[in-house]
Amino acid sequence: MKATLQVINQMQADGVISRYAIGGAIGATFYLEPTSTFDIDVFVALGNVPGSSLVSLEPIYRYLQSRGYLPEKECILIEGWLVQFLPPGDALDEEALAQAVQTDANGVPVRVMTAEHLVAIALKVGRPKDKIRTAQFAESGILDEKKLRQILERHGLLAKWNQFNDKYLNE
Amino acid sequence: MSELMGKILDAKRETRKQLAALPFGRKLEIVEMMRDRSLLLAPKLEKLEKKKVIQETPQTVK
Repeated sequence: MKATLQVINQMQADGVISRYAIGGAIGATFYLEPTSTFDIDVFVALGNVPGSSLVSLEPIYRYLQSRGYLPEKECILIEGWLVQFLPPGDALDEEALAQAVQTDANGVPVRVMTAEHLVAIALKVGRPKDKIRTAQFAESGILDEKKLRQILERHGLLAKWNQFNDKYLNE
Repeated sequence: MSELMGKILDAKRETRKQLAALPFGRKLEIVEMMRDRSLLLAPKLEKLEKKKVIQETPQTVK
């Protein structure tokens, strides 16, 4: 995975992406025990298509394909790992991308979303695996409760969090 | 909850805590190993599933 992360950093250095943040299972692995996954979710800030409010992943695909990295379904295979590039879908994703933390994986610099943003996004998405991840974070004791509450409040997820707490955490 | 079950859950919690405390790079190596193992097992499991269906067919025919 080291080589994959190096390619993503190179994309940033070459100006293909302005900034990025790793989310999903790989992002969660920064804080929790390792979780099995088949892809890397990379949130990326993209410029709008000229004269439009749409964003396009086309420059990313073009850049990577010219280096021999080919698309596979909704991902691109980079150095043996499927990478999914995700433009932020809402204000929460934007904030998670902006406030991601800089860290290091075996000498490779990497930006990872904060634990609180990962929880907020998992809560928003709400698939079974997201619920498991949310519970793992809650149990780990690493969450900054105040910070999490502020994020959830800002993005209208507090009621969902309370429901989650009642259903899965308050036994 | 029985005392034994409590001990088992405590041990699991402790192992998860130890794994979480590993350096990020090491954890990513573990993720990679888990993925490789899953990919290695997937075709074998598929074969087993197919075999199971074939074995069960005569019973359902009855």
